[in-house]
Amino acid sequence: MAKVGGVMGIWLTEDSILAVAEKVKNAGYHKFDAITPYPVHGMEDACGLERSWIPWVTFFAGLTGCLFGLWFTWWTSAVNWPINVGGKPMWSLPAFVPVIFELTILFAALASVGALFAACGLPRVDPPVVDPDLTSHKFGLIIYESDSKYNSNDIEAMFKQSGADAVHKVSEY
Amino acid sequence: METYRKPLIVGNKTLKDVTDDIASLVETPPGLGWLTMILGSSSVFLFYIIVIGIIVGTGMGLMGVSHPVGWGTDIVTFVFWVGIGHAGTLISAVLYLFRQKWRTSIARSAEAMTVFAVATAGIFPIIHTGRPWLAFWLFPYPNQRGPLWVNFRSPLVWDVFAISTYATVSVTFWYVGMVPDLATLRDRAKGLRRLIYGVFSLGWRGRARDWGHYEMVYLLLAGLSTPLVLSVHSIVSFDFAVAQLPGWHTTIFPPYFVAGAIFSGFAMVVTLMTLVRIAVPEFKKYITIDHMELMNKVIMTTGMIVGYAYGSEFFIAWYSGSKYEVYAFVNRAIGPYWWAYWTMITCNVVIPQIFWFRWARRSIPTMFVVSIFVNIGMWFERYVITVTSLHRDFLPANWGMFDMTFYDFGVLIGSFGMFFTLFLLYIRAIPAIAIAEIKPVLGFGKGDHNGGHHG
Amino acid sequence: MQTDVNENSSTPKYWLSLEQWRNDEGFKELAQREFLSSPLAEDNKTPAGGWARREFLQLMGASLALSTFGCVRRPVEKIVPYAKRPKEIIPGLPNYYASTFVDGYDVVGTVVRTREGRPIKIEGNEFYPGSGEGLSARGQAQILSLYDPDRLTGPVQNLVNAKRTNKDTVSTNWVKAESALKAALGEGGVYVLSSSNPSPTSRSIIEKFVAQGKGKYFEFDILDRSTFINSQGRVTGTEIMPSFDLSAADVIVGIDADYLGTGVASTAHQRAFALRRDPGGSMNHVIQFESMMTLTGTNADERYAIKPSEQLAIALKLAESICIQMGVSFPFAWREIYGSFNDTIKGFPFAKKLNSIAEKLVKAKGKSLVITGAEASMTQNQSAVYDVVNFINGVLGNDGKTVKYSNSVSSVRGSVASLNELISLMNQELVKTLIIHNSNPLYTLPEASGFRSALAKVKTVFYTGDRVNETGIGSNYIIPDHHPLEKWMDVENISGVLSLSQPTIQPLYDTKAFEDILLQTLGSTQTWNQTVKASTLAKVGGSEKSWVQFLQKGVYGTVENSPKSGRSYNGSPLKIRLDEAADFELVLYTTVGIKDGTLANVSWLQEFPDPITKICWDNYLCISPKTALDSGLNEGDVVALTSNGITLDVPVHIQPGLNDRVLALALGYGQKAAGKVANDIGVNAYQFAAIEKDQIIYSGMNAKFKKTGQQIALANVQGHHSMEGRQIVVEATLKDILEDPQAGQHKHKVFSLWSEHKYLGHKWGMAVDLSKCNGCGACMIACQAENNIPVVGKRHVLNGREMSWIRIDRYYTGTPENPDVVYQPLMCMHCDNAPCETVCPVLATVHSDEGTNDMVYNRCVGTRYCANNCPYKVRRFNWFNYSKVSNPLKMVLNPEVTVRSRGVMEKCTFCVQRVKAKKTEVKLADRKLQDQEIKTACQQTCAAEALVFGDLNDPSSEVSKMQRSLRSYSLLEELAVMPAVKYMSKVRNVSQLKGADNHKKGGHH
Repeated sequence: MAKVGGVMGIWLTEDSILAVAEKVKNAGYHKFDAITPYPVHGMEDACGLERSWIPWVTFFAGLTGCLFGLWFTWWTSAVNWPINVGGKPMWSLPAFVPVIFELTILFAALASVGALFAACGLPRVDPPVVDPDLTSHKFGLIIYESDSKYNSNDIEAMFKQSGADAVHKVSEY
Repeated sequence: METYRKPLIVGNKTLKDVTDDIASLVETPPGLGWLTMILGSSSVFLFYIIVIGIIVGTGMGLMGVSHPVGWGTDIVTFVFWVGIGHAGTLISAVLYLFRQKWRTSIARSAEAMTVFAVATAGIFPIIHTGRPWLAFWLFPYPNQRGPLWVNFRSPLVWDVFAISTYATVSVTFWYVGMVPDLATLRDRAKGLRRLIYGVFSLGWRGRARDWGHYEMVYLLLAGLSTPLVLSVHSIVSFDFAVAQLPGWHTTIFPPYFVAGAIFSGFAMVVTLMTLVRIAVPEFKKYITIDHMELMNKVIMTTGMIVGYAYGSEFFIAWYSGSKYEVYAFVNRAIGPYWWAYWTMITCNVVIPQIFWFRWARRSIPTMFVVSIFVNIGMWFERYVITVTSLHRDFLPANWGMFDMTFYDFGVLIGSFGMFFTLFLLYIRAIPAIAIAEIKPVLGFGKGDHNGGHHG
Repeated sequence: MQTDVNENSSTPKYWLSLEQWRNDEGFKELAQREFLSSPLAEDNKTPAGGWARREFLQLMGASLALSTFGCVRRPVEKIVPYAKRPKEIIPGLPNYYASTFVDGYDVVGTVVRTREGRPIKIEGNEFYPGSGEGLSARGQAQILSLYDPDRLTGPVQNLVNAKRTNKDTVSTNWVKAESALKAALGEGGVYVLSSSNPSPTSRSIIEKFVAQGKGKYFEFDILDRSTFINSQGRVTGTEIMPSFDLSAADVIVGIDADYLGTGVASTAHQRAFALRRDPGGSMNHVIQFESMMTLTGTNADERYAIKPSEQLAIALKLAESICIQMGVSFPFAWREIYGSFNDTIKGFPFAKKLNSIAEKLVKAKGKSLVITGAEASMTQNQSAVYDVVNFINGVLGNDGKTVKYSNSVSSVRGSVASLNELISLMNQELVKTLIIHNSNPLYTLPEASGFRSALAKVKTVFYTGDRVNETGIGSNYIIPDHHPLEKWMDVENISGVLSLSQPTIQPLYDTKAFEDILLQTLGSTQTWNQTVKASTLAKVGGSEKSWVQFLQKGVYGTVENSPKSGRSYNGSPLKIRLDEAADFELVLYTTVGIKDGTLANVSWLQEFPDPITKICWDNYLCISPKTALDSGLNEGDVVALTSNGITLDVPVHIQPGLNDRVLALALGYGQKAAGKVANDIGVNAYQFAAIEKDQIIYSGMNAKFKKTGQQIALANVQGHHSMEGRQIVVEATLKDILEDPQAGQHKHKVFSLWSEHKYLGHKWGMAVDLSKCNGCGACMIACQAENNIPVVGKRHVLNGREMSWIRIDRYYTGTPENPDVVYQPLMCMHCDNAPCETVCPVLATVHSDEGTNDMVYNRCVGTRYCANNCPYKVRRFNWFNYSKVSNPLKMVLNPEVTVRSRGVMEKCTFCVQRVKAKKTEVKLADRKLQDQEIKTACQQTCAAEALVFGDLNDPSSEVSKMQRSLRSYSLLEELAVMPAVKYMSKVRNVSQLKGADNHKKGGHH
């Protein structure tokens, strides 16, 4: 994606970042994001993000896995190479259930992680770093220049008066 | 609720302290204790590799297995390690679903243990075959040998699917949980280390929307792992339950094996955690005595479930009215392998009862000793099931005995070398406690208005 | 170059090896030899017998390869293949040659199967009277002795010292050896010692030779029967070994007889015996008094454990009460002795029974039989016992009915007297030259016999043995004779019945027929082969055609039935010697596998579990459970056994059904120079025997033992010896069976959750009649030979790793003091719902559409799950690379059967190679497959015909008939695995079963 810069403020507590997020949202900004070292409870609401869509991927991947398993066991043992094993029917469904089940789980799990990578734009080799402590104990909030109301000075002022520990102008995040 | 619950992390840590504490283990050069441990375990690991080499080079005949006891140490130890492998996922997934926040400080190591245990276990089904170099034939892959597939009716094929799926998913689960922490390390590191952690952290940035997806996937994986973890040991138990051999042919096996797995898994976690607490005193603050106590409670409970299973086996054997079944179980208790059976009972049913006492649950030396006994007992459980059932079955003319040889002990001991080598390396390379998961439960910098959420 | 290769019409157009492509000289020679080679090639004088060995070396190297390419080898001088077989060798098809297996007194007509000139298996000759297609374990194993790596590859010379004990052996050549012999012949005093020589032609040549050398020909057998023959002379006037017709006997009483296991004509007896064990027909009643548990005893209806010193008392008691009941006068000369036994007889636990047994015999007079004569009967009073027994048969009028004097076993010729005569001649230094043939006296004869010291006085000793064994070490020249399978031989075992051995392979080594040497030395122009033909031709009708027919059939003459009743006994006193009772009496016995110790270097026989004890790779001292208890001995404890002033350390085996006063030890072990396999296995029990003027004593010697504290693990292939009250072998009394054919069986309801697979076409199955099976174990060796089953050695047998595809489980029922014994042959059951198949992850064992459970070796990964899940545990695993076989042993391998590599599972295939071969044959001939046309190796060799293989889809087939019989049951029926093998219950002709408690209708499932 094209590099989009903006203004980022740094805060030191979870509560303040939540407050700021609310404030920014209410101020009518749309293109902004919070950066936290750990998942902060209630941040989605604060930033007005909608629920993740990944569960759908999981469901359909799981369904695929199940159907594939069903078809594969049936095709190999009853169609492609039917052979009398222990006098059992060629298509011994009950005996195939474990395999089908495992395939369901496998497909679902791997697909979900794949979806996560896609959603978060991972993997990325050269992520921009504003403040290394953002992954440790500091909280950041960035408003992108692509936002319609974007004005760096106003934003800096807003961050400052809402007690930002520091404010950076970043070319990309 | 909240007010009555003791803090999960003691010593009023700030976020930075947490990061520093946990990361320091990875960032500072190893101490003498670690070095001696890794030296010991890796040399055992080397010995293990040599023993396996000789066995594969010469033939399975070197081991004790024979006719009629076609499965021995390899399978026993395989089931043992797979069992160990279950606690990790259980702690990280099931307890996560149940919102058991106390899990966070041990989840990472428990998962690591899972991954390494499964890896260790995975070796055995391969080396126990007569022609290990052909073990890949157990996978159904298209080939030029005309239509030639695997037998999906065979529990061993179920195993292949179950174990490989379980390994894949738990590695993924483990790794996904690790990414933010790796990012933390990346941002603290310089030069090569920075590059390496940079690569493995996949360029994690921790934006709100990232976290949104991340938590969702974590939840999904937890949800998927839960039935998986239950299925895996059920399927391992099918290896026995599906056979018609008296002593194996039992419907109680799946729940009984799963309980046993949790039992042995938690015991191993306790063993490891006590060691970690000794190796890294600072971790005492994160892995508190309360955590240990909770695990001991689980050990005692599952121990009693397993004990119940032992009992009901006998009842069913008697109730079935089949003289073969009856004999198989009587023979366990008073046959030539009585010692194995009673070792198992003592270690798994009797000894854990000490956890009825609070002091025992909270005394590190006691729980360490008990956890060791439980590990021994659970190995013997598999020994009893495998060997005593096989050595005397339907036709008395076939009856025989099973004696372990040097090579049996070699692979048994060697496998521990492999396991501990991996675990020790992990301790030094990856944050042993999930930094990003600990911080939310820290209760730092939050007003009371949202404290309730953490009840 | 190229041209003269092409001249050889039989050179293949395509090339197999670079040598051939380059027309390498050596290869051409090899190729030509191959094409010239025939079992008789040495017969046409060019090229001289010398190249036989070179040819072998090439043959050895190339045999397997050659069997694969355009191999059109054709005999130059035809030897005529077996009638029912192709006349020419066709590559890939076996050829069959009629031959004869001579195993002491058990002589059996055989058919040798060869592939591309290699004998690979021996089978019974259906035309041979008595034994028919039946063949003993030893007969099956003889094939391996041909390829014994320890055989001499040429004549050798010993530089011997005065005591003939050194082992300084140098190789020599035939010229030297023969000139030495010629010189000796000129010098005179030439004597020949051999075991009973069944070949009239050979005998006449030897006689001629010793006559020339002013010497004498002595025949002596270490398992002597001469005392019995002498007794026959005393009692009936004719000194012959009669043949016993078991099929005509309703009641058989054995007093230390082993007519089924190791006795005279045992193979034939097994067949006749089995005919009378069918509850459908008239079942015989078998009573056995024995001091060691023998194969015969375990098959008896009533068995009494006695000690050797009691034989005479029992015999006399029977004789007396029979005389009374028959109104015949009891010989006066015996009264006194008989009286002296009064208390002994009263003391018998079975004292009351003796009269009723006598009654049974009398009731069946003319259709009854009293037998004795096993080694255990060879006490110091053996002649007396034999006299009484022969007398009883006379009184009962069995002579000429069950005891046949026409068609006597004429091959029994040796005598102790002649041995003693030879020894004294040697001591008088009258023996300048001694030729020892077919006998190993320095191993078998105890030191006390003085043979060794006497031999030291002989100037030159020639030995015709095939190895430097004990006798070899003691002789100057070893001039190896051909192996029986490389040699012409006419055999007259039963007088009037002529059979023949044909050479089935070009002699492997630089050996010479013993008779050829003699003829050459005598300066005869005829070769041995020509002589045999000449002398036999006359007997078989004279014409070339009749000769050919004889070769094809392998046997000439029939057993005609001219009853000849013996005259009654003149009542001369019994010569007996009575000692005070010993606390332990030693019995030296022979086992089914090792017998007298010949063939001891055949690994198949060493690993062949003894039918009764199920122990292999050792001999051991059998003691009764009570003796063990009293003297605190456990299985495998080593004791120092002392008797006749000799002490040896032996491990003990606790043998149920053994008299508490008896110690029993097997002969034939403890060889020092038999070869890599047999050397130092067990102890040499012959040392305890005593050679007297006219008898050998193997039994009843006073003996004692002392615990040494050492332990030897005995390799017992069976884990447990009681059926634990499970329905494994169903036993029933004849009475019950006649009322209810299902007597003793507990049936289960078996049903299936899904529709079974259909088997159109054939569905192979087997039926095993446990009443007929006598447990001899011939099937095990037959299977081993047919299916290339490896030998694993004692250490691994101890670990339960023996590889036998078919085994015979032996269970004891009743009390340890005097149990009943049941045998159960167990091979793969080829279950319709095979548990092994379901669990195999890689489909390496699956079901064929002919109902067999197939094992796909090269797909097998070796998880061993199938073996664990097999309720019968008939699957065997290749723990190591057993298939690595060295030359020349690998020549015995059956090219039709895969050699299994390490790490794969294997098991009985129902001899699928035989099924396939026959099906192809039938298809080519475009006809229908007949029942019994396909026989598995085990079925074919079973003299008792207890195993029957066939098509279950053909309602008229023997096997379906047997499986339909109500006596049939499937083993472990309740598991619903639907085995294709079914067993028919074991029927005993008794009023009450010993193991009755085991056979109460089992609990309800």
